[in-house]
Formats: sequence, C-alpha cells, structure tokens
Amino acid sequence: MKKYFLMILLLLLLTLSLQAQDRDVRNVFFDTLRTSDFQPTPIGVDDMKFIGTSTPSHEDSVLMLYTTRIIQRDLDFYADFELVQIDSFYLRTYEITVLDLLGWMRLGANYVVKLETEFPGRNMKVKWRLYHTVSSQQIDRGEFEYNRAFWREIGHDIANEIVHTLTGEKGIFRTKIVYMRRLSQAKELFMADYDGANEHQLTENGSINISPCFDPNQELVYFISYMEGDPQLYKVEINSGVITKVAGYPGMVAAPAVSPDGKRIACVLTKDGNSEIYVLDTEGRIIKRLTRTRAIETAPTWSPDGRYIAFSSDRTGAPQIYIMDADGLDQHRVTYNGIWNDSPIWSRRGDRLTFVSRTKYRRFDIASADTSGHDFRILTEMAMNENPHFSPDGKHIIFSSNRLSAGDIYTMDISGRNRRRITTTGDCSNPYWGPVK
Amino acid sequence: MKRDLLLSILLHVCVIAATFVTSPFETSRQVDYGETIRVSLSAMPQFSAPEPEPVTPLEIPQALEEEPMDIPIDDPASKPEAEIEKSVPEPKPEPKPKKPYQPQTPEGDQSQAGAAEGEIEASSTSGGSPFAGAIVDNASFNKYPYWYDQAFNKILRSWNNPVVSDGAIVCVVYFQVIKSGRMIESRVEKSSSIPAFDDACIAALKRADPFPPLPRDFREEIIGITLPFKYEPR
Repeated sequence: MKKYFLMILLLLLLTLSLQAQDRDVRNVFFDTLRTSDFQPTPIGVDDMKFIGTSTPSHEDSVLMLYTTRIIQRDLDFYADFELVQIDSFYLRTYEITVLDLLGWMRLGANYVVKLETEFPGRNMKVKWRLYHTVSSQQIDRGEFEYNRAFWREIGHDIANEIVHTLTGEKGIFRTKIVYMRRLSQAKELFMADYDGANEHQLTENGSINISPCFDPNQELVYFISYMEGDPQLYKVEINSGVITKVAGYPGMVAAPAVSPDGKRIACVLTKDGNSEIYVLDTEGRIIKRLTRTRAIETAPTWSPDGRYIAFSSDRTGAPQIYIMDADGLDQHRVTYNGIWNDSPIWSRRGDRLTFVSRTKYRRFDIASADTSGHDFRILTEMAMNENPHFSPDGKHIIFSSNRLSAGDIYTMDISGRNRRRITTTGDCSNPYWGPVK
Repeated sequence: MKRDLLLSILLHVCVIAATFVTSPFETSRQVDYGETIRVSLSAMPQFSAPEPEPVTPLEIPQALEEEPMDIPIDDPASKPEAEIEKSVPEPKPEPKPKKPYQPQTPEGDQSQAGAAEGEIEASSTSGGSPFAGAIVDNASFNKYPYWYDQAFNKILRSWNNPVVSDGAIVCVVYFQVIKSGRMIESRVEKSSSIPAFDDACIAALKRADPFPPLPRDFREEIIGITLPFKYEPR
C-alpha cells in the first residue's frame, strides 16, 4: 500500500514541477511567417531637360519625352520600386514651378532621377543623376550616348543602372521574351523586348512551332516544331535565324528545358510508347532516362543549381507536381492542394515552384507553393492562365491568359500584383523570359 | 498473490452483480408528467379597439442656462472677436519638410548625435524597423543613409521568421559587404538561443545578397555591419 502512495506522490510532484517549468520557459513554437510590411521604394523621374545650345526640334522633344516614359515605365514595372507621379494639384496649390528634391520628397519620393540630354550629330546623349531626397545627396550618375534610333535602349540602360545602384542586382530591362503566335494555320515563334516592343518573327516555316526556351547565353532558342511531321526538337540562332534540328526520336519530343549550365536539355520523349522524361546533351543524344512509369510524365524544369528537376505526372490519377534528383532518383510528390497541377517552373531563388492549377471553378490559374508544397497561393483570379515562367531576376512572372482576348502574354510580380499586358494581337501563348546578358 | 487475485475476482463479481441488480430499476423509471389536461381550441372573442386618446404634447422643461465653468477651454469661439479674426484667414501651413540629413563625421560630437561610434543613423533604422540599433564598423559610412535604407529593405523582404513566441527574441548577426555589394561573410554574433531563428537571420542575409554596391566616393573596400534581428510579440 505504501508503494502506491509513494507512486502517486511522485506523479503529483512531477506534474507540479513540469507546470512550474512551463511558467519559466518562453512558450516558443514554430510556424512560417512572411514579413508582410515590406513597402516598395518610392522613386520619381523628373522630366528630361535639354542642355544643347539651340532649342530642340520637335522630333528631339518627342524623343526626350518618350525616353523619359521608358525610364518611368521600367522603374514602375520593377517589383521593388513604386513610381511617384507628379501631383498637379499639389504643384498648383503650392505654386511650384520647378520640382526640387524637397518637392519630390513632399510628393513621397525617396529617390529622384534627374535627366539631361543633348543631340550631338545623329546621336542622343542622356546624362542621368540619382538623388536621395531625404539626405539631398547625389548617389550615382552616368551617361549613355547612342544613335537616336536606339532611344528605347538608352531608357532601358538608365533604368538598369538605377536598379543596380539601389539594389545591387542586374536590371532586366534589356532582356528578351520569346513566345508563340498563331498565324492562320501556323504557329510561329516571335521575339520581343521584355515590354513587348521591337517584336520580330523568329520562325517562318508555316508549321507548328511551340515550347520555346532560351539557352543561358541568350544566343539560341530551343523549340519543338512539327515541320517534318512529328514534333521534334530544334534550335534557332537568334542573330542569324538559322534553324537546326537537335533531336529526332520516334514518337514525339516535347517540353524542352535547358539546364542552368546550358549543357543538358531535359525533355519528354515517347519513343517507348509512353511519355517519359529524359536528359539529352545539346547535340540531342540521350544521357539518361529519368522516369519509368505507366503514367504521363511531362513539363520538366530545372532547379537553379541544376541538382533537381520538377515535373508533372498523373501517376496518382490527375497531374500533380513532383520533384526528383537530376539523375531521376528520389521522386516525391510536392502538391496536394488542388485536383490538377501542371507546368511547374522553379523560382530563381530555388525556394518556390510556380505552376498552373485548376481551381474548383474549373479555371486554370497560376499558383505558387514552396518546394515542400506548403504555402500554396493562387496568383490569378480570372479567365484561363497558363504557361508561367520567371523573369531572370525571379521577381516577375510571365504567363499567357485569355482574359481580354483569345490569348495574350501578360506579366505580374511574383505576388500577383502589377499586371501588364505585353501583347495585344491575340492568339499568343508559350512565353519564355530570356536571361540577362 | 493468491489473496490479491481472490480480492480482485470478488470485486469484479460485486460490480457485475450491482450492474444487474440496478438494471431493472432503470427500465421502470418513468417520467411523471402530472395530470393530463384536454384542451379544445375555439375562436377568440372579438374585441373592439378602444378610441385613441388625444395625444397631448409632452412638456419639455426648459434647459437650465449653463453657468460658465471655471475650467479654461482653448476654444476659438470663446475667444474675443479680435482674436478670431486673426486666426481665420491664416493660410494652411505647408507640410514641414523633413530635417535634411546632416552628415556625421567621425570627429563629430558623438554625444550630440546620441549614438555610439559607428551606430547607424536613427533615420535609417527607426520607424518600426526591426533592425534598429545596427552598428557599422566604419563610422564614416554613415554619410550614406540611402545604402542602409536599401540594404535593410532587402533583408526585411528576404526574412521569413520561422518562430512565434510570447517573449521578445533577438539575434545579433555580423556581415561584411565588399565594394561590388557582394556579401563575403555572415555569422551569428549573439545567438537568440533558438537555432531556427538564428538560421533564418543568416538565411535572410544570404537571400538579400547582393546588396547595393558601396558608393563610388567611399574609399574603403569593405564594410562590416552588426545587425540585430528583433522579434517582438504583437
């Protein structure tokens, strides 16, 4: 009987001591919280001033205005910045004729870009200065001089310099995008600046050309073409426009994805009767077969370090996202949200996957989750949205959507905000954002 | 042992017996609803509505005249006429410009600035920033407050806090940045004693890399910053 009493007494003491410890130790538990109080940096761009000896011609004045607009649009596009607009009501109220740094600061701008230009010969020379309004300090300056025909490039280069000065990262405003557009019965590849300007046709074979992707050096575009009947892998040299066949196998070749080092191409082959993922070299020779199931495996995408490949597979019924090592080992499912997830793309940081998800409204939306499948977020909320791809800095997503037309290319921040329509012709899809040179 | 076994069996038998013995009483238990009353429904008799009485208006008592209170109130209406005329046409004052940044030289009066040597200008780290109290190795770098704004903004954006606590957590990290903005070293200077929080702080620095390049007119090749990551429960 004494034993029982002793045991009960011990249990009571143990419980009391644990309670006492609970009061002393901080109650810490683990969760995933994202800092939400980040605010984009407000930046203003002043009107460009002419510093030549004579008054500028009408054409020069238009160039000055357009170049300023390019810089403003670029900085406004960048996810880390927010363009401060000149508030005419404020200017009238306080009778401000010249916006100085103090005036810009009152408008809410932390930084201001001041621009001056002159037109030596056929060239356009723009000097830029970046100021910190709070400290009235000049942070950086520079100048670009190109032929007048390249006024857009001057604007983009200045915006790139400002991004680099303030963030340390390379600006993306001189990058290219490539996409597919339907032309009557054919589907041809087009290339344009990141904002849709300077569009030109890459392929003109009257066939179906789809799934373009850049090599890391931005000299080649790999794509799938039906020009010889079955879909096979080709490449086009961007400068010369020369098209070469890379790989041809029985059945079809689909969904090419170039590795970050540019030496391997993950793609889908059906030569054995089923859709499986293979890794090829740049000459089209098979290095390794990565998947071996009866299901359909497709849409491979490389992790930024080239060590993993994400892909979609319907081995459990409906397409879901999986990750495997680059040699095909350790295949595991990532997405459990949504009944249908496809077309994964790995973020540049390597911590998230963006993909197409069919929602309960039977709509295709761009969604995002971390590489363990948690923190699932839907980034679009209208129409059909497909073919997502990241910008080189990983801060923006390009995708195709039929929200306003039969299909156009759009961009948005990775948070889903700041959406822009890049093409307006319709019948466009399969966008791919090229690297920074 | 044998005795315990017998005792246990006896107790079990008692419990089972008690269950059986009490069960008949359970079924016989009935609810007593009392006397049954039969009710027949019939139409209610018609009542003629009474004539409404003429409504007499309520007599509202006159409000008592308030006596002026002795407490002085700063009300413009209570001021003499001449004073009001002065205050009405006064234009709305322009918003006060922020005090321009005064570069703080290393030789400057530190006590006046209210900061230890190398402590980063308050304007760059205050205002709800979790990095208030950051210290830079080279105090002359405080001439460039924009750099802190941009660098700390990047860190803040890259920081995924993995910990929720009912108490404050602080982890102090130290990192070095070279001229190009690349981070060359990062380490925990003072641990928060929660490894996940420490790791998240270092991960935030690595994700924020590269930082803005050091200003062109800053002659040093490298800066080192001691940065506290603070978590405070809301």
